Amino acid sequence: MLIINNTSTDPSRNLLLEENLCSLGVEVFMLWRNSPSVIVGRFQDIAAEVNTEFSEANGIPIVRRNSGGGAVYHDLGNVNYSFIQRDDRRLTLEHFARIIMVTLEAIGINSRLEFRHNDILADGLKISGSAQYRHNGILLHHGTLLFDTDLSVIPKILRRSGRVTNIRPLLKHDMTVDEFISAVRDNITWGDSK
Amino acid sequence: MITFNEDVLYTKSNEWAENLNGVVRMGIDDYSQSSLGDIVHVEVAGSGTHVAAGKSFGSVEATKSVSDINAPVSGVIVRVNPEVLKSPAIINIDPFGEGWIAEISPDDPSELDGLMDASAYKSFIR
Repeated sequence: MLIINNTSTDPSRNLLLEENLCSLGVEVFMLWRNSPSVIVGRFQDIAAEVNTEFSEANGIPIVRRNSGGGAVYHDLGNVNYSFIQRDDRRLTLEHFARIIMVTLEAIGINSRLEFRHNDILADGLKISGSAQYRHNGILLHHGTLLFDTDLSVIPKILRRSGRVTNIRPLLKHDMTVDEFISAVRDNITWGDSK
Repeated sequence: MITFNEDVLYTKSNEWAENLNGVVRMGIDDYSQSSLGDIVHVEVAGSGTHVAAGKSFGSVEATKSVSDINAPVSGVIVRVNPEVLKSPAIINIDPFGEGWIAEISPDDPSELDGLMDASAYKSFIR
């Protein structure tokens, strides 16, 4: 497993990097962040999902990803994770959500799985969502961890947004986003999601 | 509960294929559709496109995951099921029947011999 702490915060560059890593032929776990941007799902209609006037006025780029799912707002308070490995249909959204939940628990965050979309909730609000892309026998599973995002932007820029919250205020002992990234990296386990 | 159709052949990437008088009808199997969940979008190359065995010629999108649709054999697409393009959820309901995706005129029908039968496939995915 190649573990990458990607320090680039350019959304287009990061999504391209992720795509290129899929053709490397090695297992990858990557943590990364994007500067303010909207990342839309593979087949989404941008006009229906994003307030493009707001995004243009605020210089927030809209970038399309290869995986499914809905539009999400990213900023430097949101931590993304990616798993890249050989595809196996048993590697479901739930499989990875459980890995993330175990990791969050180790950091002191109790969460539960929302079964319809396999979102991760804390206090009944979404803290993490994920999506997958299977191509050429390789599975990309990636997701968001809302750590300290400016939540006030979300309803302004997304036409449809669910109820979300940040992880940071739920911590017993405060940490910075960089410390959170290190904690996720140190506590992540794979192959054993139980 | 995963259903296996004993009359079709299977690929390692979870497609099924059936020889219908020289034309290979294909789709994604029950194992695949059930692990993907609700299928909301199907995109495939059109009739007349030459496809290569094991290579992607389209994709299927479930609520949050996008997967390749790979050709079980090399050949030319002769027909795409218009019903699954309109109502992709048919694949969830009847993956081996009404949910077929495309028909391919194979370059070499013996390529089907390289696919797995239901019993080999069952052990493969276990």
